[in-house]
Amino acid sequence: MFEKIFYEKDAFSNPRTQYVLNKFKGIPHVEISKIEDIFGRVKKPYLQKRTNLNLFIGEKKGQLVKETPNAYGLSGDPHYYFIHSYNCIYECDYCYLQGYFHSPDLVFFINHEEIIEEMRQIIKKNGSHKTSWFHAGEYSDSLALSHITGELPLYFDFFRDLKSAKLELRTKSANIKELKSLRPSKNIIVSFSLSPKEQIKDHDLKTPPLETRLKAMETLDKLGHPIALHLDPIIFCDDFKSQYEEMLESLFKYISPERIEYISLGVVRFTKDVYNQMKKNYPSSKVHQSELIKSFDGKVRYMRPMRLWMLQTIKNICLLYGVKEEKLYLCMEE
Amino acid sequence: MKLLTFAHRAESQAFLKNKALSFKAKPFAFEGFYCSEKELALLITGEGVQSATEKLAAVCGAYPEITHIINMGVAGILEDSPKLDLNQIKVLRTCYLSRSEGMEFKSFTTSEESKNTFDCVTSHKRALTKEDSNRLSPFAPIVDRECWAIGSVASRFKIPFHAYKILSDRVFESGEVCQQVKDKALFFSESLLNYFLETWSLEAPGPIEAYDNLEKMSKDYSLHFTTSHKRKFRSLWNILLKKYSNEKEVLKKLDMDCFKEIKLSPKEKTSFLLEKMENLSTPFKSELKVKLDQSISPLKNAKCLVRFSENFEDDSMELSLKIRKEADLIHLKKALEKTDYKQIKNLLNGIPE
Repeated sequence: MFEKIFYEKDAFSNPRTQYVLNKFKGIPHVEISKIEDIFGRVKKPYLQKRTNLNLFIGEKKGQLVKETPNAYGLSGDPHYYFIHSYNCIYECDYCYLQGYFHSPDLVFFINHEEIIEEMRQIIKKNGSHKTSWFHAGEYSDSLALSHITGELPLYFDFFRDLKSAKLELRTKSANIKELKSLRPSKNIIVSFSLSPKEQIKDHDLKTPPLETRLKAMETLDKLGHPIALHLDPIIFCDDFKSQYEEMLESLFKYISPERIEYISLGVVRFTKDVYNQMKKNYPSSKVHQSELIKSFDGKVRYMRPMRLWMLQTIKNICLLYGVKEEKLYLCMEE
Repeated sequence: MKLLTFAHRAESQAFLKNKALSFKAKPFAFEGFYCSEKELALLITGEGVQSATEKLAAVCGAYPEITHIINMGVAGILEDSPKLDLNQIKVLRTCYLSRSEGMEFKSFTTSEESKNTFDCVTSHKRALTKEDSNRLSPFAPIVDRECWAIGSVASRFKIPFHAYKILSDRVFESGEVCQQVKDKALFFSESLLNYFLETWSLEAPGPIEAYDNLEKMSKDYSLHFTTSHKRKFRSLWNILLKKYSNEKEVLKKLDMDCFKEIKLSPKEKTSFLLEKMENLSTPFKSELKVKLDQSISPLKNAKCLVRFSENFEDDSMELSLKIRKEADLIHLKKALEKTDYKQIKNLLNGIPE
């Protein structure tokens, strides 16, 4: 899986570091002073993750919990994301990470206690009249490697008794091994990003197929874990509507609409840099054939009537299946 | 023409002596440039980034016929790995640069498609000690003195570049390596020559066949392409090829047989073909335009110009009409009455029908 593991000298004795190092005994372990001395120091081509992926373990410095951009989650409440990892083992061709860190290497930050302390301060500041939302999975998949990183019990312990805070674990994986051993909590929501099976095949390279993700959702639902959905990014194709109809039909066979906490909808969009990276890394991706334009704000996206039509079409299908309108929100859209 | 580059004459000696290649010195701004009748040239760049950059850039500027740059030479091993052994020839992938003040952010990647490739760090000074090895090995397992510079110039001139290095020493073991490398120079050079002859064809490339289906299409379907038509056709054709995987499929989608029967002039047929291609490449936009055109047809009939915002980024519309006589006003009033504004608004706001 990894070519080498680089660990910060100061993080060596941490049990989480030791656990990972023990798990990957057969590959070179290299002691370094600071992650940033190596990671992102040079431009490492993104697709080298296929043959030469390194892992870095260390402590995250600076701000650990940040406010999300507008229209990120259900409106009205303050939303934050926290950074406990960089990069992802999957290879979605539209992923913004390919233009973000200048390296596809994985980074695990082990100072979760400090992240939790920052969360505690934020919750205190926001008071009990607001629900503070914390999202994991902004720079990495929050479940894909959770059996190796092992931080979930810590977050479950912290959130379980909080009445004015929610934790969202975003994932494209079906790795629910760790979650299965944890007692569900009403305010810890596992949100699955889904696309029609044809789109997963075309764009979500190396991710589990739709059926596997649906089965994982069903298992967690039966265990009592709250489930949410992200239909994001939505990509246009000739049989767009029928693909989404088929996907949502399958979905609601596994989990009933009323069991879903919320569904976010977002149409594919890129910054100019990410789009250029994507063109370089995936020149034959079907995304390039799908009527993208350079928009008013410099971002590459579909024109407004098309975006809105796509969102409305999926929203209507969800409503037909009995999803309540207040559970649907448009992510990063006006 | 392929251009081979080496840092030192000793590394290139087997190539220069090879009778089949028959390199001959070519007078140039500096010594060390050779050409062969086999569509090959050879440049001795000298050691280090600056010399390699200067000399290669000069040659690339003077010889636009260079199609590939192939960098060869010796390189050191930075880490003890079973994948790397002395005298092995390795195909390089990404080259990084270590400057005296630290690592350079920019990197250059070769045009190799093979999976069995290795990264290389080009060092500003000879890497000879364990400390050098510890400093450089986090970035790449192989070290040389020029490869990054070769990649940088190749990138600037947009020429594909390749790099093959023979592993001459283990940097992490330290020792008197320079003399040992010199002593084995002929062996290294011969190994590189054999590798090159096995890997690269010496056949002169035939004339590049400019594939263009415009001529064939014009003939088969009696079309006539103006210069702007040609430009538009090529751009749309590339989009459709990506969308429908092959040419046959695209032609089928365009229903080309209908062009044999259609009674239009060659130029009109071409415009019709381009419109069909546009509809196929942007089906949503095309459909939206048709529907909007239908919705605003009363206004258009009243000679009223209707403009929408750029890329329909908002749902407003702008009307302009020159009123010359009272009848114009009456026409406009009737046209406005006939216009279904709600329908236009729905189309612009993506409300499904």
